[in-house]
Amino acid sequence: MSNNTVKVAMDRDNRGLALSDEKMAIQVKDWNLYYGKSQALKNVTMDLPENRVTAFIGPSGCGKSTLLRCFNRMNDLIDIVSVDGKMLLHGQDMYAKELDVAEIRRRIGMVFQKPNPFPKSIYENVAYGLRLQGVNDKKTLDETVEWALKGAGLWNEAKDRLHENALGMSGGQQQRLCIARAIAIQPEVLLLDEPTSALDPISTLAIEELIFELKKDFTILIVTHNMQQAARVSDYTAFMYMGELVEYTDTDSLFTNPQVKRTEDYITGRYG
Amino acid sequence: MNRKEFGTHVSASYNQYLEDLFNQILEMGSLVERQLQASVVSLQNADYDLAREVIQLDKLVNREEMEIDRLCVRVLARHQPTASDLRLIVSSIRIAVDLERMGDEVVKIARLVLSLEARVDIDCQNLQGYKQLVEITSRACDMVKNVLDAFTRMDLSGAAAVIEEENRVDELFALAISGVTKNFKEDKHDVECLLQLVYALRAAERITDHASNIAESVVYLVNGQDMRNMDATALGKYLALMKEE
Amino acid sequence: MKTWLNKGEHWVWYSAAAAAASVVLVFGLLLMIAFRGLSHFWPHAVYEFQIQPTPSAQIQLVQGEIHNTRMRETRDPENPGFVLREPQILIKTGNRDLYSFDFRWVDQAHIVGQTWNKAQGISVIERYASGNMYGYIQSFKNNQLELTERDQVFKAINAAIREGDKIRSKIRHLEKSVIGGINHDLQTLRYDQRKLEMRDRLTPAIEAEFEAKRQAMHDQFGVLQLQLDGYYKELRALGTVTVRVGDDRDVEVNVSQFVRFWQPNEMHLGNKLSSFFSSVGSFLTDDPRESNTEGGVFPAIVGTLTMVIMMTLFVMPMGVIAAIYMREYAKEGKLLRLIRISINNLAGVPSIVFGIFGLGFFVYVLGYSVDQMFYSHALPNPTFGTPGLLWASLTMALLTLPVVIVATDEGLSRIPRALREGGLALGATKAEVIMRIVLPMTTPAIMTGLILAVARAAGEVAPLMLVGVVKLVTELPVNANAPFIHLDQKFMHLGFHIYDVGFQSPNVEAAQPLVYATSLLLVVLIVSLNLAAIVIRNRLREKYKSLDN
Repeated sequence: MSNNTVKVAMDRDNRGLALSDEKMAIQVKDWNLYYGKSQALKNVTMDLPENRVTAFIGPSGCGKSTLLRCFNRMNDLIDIVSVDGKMLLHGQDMYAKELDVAEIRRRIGMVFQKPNPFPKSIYENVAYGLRLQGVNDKKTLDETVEWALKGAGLWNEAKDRLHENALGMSGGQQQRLCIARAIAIQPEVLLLDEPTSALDPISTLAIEELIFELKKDFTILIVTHNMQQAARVSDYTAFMYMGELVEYTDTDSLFTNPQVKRTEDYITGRYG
Repeated sequence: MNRKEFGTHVSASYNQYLEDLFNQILEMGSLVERQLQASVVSLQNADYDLAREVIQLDKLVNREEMEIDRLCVRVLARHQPTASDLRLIVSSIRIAVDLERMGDEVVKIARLVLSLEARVDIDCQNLQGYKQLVEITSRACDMVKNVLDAFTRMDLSGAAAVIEEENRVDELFALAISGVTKNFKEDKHDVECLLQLVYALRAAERITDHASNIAESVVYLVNGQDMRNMDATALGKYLALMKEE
Repeated sequence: MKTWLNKGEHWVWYSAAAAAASVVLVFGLLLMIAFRGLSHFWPHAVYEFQIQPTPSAQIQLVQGEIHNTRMRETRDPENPGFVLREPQILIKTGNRDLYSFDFRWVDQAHIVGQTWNKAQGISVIERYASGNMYGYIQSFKNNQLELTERDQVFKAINAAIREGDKIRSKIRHLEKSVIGGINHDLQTLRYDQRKLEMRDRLTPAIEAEFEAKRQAMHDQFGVLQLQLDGYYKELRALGTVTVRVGDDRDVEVNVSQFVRFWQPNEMHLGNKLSSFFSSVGSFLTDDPRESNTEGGVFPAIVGTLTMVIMMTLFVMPMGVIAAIYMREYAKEGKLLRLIRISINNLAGVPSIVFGIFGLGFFVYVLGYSVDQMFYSHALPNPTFGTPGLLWASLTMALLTLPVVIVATDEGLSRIPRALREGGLALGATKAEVIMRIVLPMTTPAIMTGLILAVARAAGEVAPLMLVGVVKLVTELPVNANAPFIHLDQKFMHLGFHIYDVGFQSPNVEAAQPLVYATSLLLVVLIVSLNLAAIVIRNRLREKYKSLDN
């Protein structure tokens, strides 16, 4: 063991991760969201650290997906949704009126629950975001597609069939393709909305491994129903219940010694 | 944290597994307690049969430890426990190890009693350390009882009391050792007997250490606080805090 | 039995029976039309009958194809209340110019000798006028030679028919393209002159110029007319054929009248098949003759296709854009629901109502205004103010609009939301998502709607009768004169052709097979359109299928 690893190991042993030491990518202040008259998110205040994986857990309907979709303004698509509060991406107000929504979505990529590749070739799927930005130079596209597919751990499987229809791939490959598609436009933040709920265990592990790799370059927020998954992949975990942020701390603490009874009951699987 | 809450999982098998684990630890604890009680009686009355029984019981205790390990592994593999459940598993393994060591230590005390059987000529019982040995052993017996009680009730103040008691036993042990040392110096006693006595004293003290470890495990189980790396002042403060609860 | 009923087995049987009945009906219909239609093209055997109407009368020789049989019922004059049944056969005797009828019913009792007696060596001659001729070809003669030896005669006639075809195609070229072009130019010239006149810019100089041009055209016209006359003369000089008809009656027929001729009783299967296919071919590519009861349906096919294509061009963008608006942009609410209901109801409006609307609005209002604004030089002759291709296509587009909208709408609603969100999440705008992801994936549904629309439009007759279809046109709506597609022209249509031939024809018996043949063509056209739709849709679905699970 080199000195460095010993030092890192000591650091981890002694301190673990702590939110107070992190540089923040997104800041959320007093965030409220209403579906018509019913309130789906209540006064959520949290800071999401850069280059870390933050997991959102909680029972169905607790608002975790809704909150995730606030980060790239997907909720704008629903007419009856209204929001208030502050949401800052590197200090910039994401909900400022003069801001282009498409711009925000380019900076905050998203991968969905079900793999949703476009019915095009693998290559075109990955190149889609770039083409939208008007990049049509073949060399740039080739390079970016290769980089993104490598980043998504799909290059070896896909390099010989780049121009085949993406729908011919397996579910796990499709989901990694969606991740490749999302990272191809170099977002700052990557939102994963239950990315493995439609996949088999091995594909799930591949995605989890990928998340671990990707956090070097991206800030990752993941919503998952699978608590073990949250425990496996995340650095920080937020537990939400009935639209409220109940507990938000480093994953080790949350899963060994939660401070709130609700959290304890949820993660140990007790009667609510 | 309340012991009843371990039985409120949505999964009935999970509840059953944790319940089994609890019962197994209590069963093992009561075995060790019985060993201790028997050793105290045999020390006082030079009851050699009882001492042999203590040694026999140790095999049972060892088997109990394996059983607890098995139960813990089963829960880990099947239910991936988290939070208090996870802490229960971790503390259970630790408690089982501590109890098993206690069993081993009690055997050392029983060996002392049996060594006396062969040497009726020596009046070991009236040696200076012997009384303290009986005292420490019976205190250890009480501590085990208390700590198991604290474990059963998830009682922080009970656990704190055990930890404090251990400090007092340490003083007693120091006293006993100084007495035995004096005996050595006087050079009129049988060395072999004295050595056995030192072993037994040491063993009894170790038992109280283990009891204190179990108390720490109980604290970890109840509120996730790891007390092992606390220095004396922090510990004192923390114990006072726990007793208030 | 009771348990059988309780199990509900009888319902299974009922539904199976209903399904079977539908299948039988569909295939029965197709088979009947196919048989009747195709048998029209088959070279049937020609029989010779000896007919003696009364015992004392002279024996008559009649040659012809057997078309039908029936029992004629007559009151028995001797036993009142009783009915006599007499078997009769329908013989197609042809030779309309000689007998003034093509078909005759003959009592079987009046036939002397063997009933089914094939006429040996008889020829069937398809003629440009007056229908088929049945008779024995005797001799051929023209300016140079006279032949009586059968093989030589047939050879000479065939050569003459080929020659005649060449001359005819020259005539057609002259008449349709060259003279038609001159007529077109003349009309343009007249309109130009009139336009200037209406603007009071017609100076005598210009007028003289116009006159000169017109004169030049007229001269050209005269030259062409002469050339044409020469061709016709050539055609008549091809030769004459003597044919023996019925009871030793010799008739002279000019070869220029011959379309084809054949000897059905001497043909083997191969010959018959090739004759069958060449008949089918000429049916598809020839102009109709004898007020539609003979010849081909080519103009009707062209008319139908042109109208359908025009309709597609109108209905496709309209329907797709409407559906996109309704599904993607409009807010769900009472108004949208009302619109959907209206569209669905529009699909249920009887087609003739659309015809009335087309006539009343498109022709009389729009067409009239267009004429007033752009074609005033042609008034009082209406250009667009009269039924025509444009208005027919628009009317049919309106008729089929609901089909396209509903199909596209359903297609759009089936695109998973996840896919749209996937596009949006990459920073695409809503329009980009619709154009690049949603619409390509909706193509199977759009195709389905479109082809249903096309099939409906191709089969619809009633509204077309009001807005542009006619019984016979001299000019196709598509031709070589600019602008190549003549939106103001009237056109022929297969559906209307069936109606016209079947019910408006003076010679019902002769027209009947053509009705079936045309129906078959229409059915084949529509069935193949539907099949194409299914194939395209399946192929596209295959491409997008893994999205559905």
